[in-house]
Amino acid sequence: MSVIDAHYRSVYRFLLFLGRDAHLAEDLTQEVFASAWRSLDGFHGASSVRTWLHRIAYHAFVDARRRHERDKVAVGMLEGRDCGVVDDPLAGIVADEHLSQLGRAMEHLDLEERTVLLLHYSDGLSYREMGEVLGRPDGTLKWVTSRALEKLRKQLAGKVEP
Amino acid sequence: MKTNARDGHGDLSADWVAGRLREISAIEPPRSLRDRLEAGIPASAVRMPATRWLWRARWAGAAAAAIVIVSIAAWRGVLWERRGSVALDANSRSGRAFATDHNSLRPSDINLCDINGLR
Repeated sequence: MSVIDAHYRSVYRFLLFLGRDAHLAEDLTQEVFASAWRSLDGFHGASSVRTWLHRIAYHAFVDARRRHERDKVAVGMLEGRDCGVVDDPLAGIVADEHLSQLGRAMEHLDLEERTVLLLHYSDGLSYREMGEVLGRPDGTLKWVTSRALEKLRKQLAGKVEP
Repeated sequence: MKTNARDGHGDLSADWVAGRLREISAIEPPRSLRDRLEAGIPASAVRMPATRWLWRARWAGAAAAAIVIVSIAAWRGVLWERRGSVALDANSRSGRAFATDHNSLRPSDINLCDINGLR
């Protein structure tokens, strides 16, 4: 199985729920693999390929968000109006209503909280692996994960009809 | 994995939320994405690190084997040199007497005829 086959799904899902933008997730997934290929010589196997790709994906998303914020401010100044997205960008991608609600509730978490929840629960990364992605100590990430889950639980409470 | 959505106090349980997060892994990306990824990355890189490391390991193994073989050959060569000891060399010639291998003796190797030097 190729590296693309083994990892593109998890990289795409990670980016999809991080930014709640399907087009951005696709573009960034391509960017991640292109970037990985370019920096292949720098990969010495100190971490797993999965961790390495998620680290690239996380930094690609941070950069894209920074660019987007800059563009949004520039466009907002030109047009004098709010450029926020009104429609649910996950509609049509995520058929399950619970997952759509989950995606909306995750908007209320900060980037690090969203990242740890996705890496830990969706992608199954350990705290040590998450530490390699985010460059944070394991203990801190345990605490962040626990806090993020609690925040998400409160966000979903009252909105979910199980 | 089915867990109760509400805990004992009627609140949404953390296990249920964690379960929903795990369901994200069932989402499939569009098929066209994979095709674009394969098209955008050279075929040689598609089977990256694992194969590359295997290739490097093979070369490292071959190099190590070559070093071992050369070392053994050199060591045996030194031993062979030591087996042939100079017995007498009155004529300042490097004649050698191979005492342990009489079948390989050649006239030029035997230099024991310096009677004057014998006591």
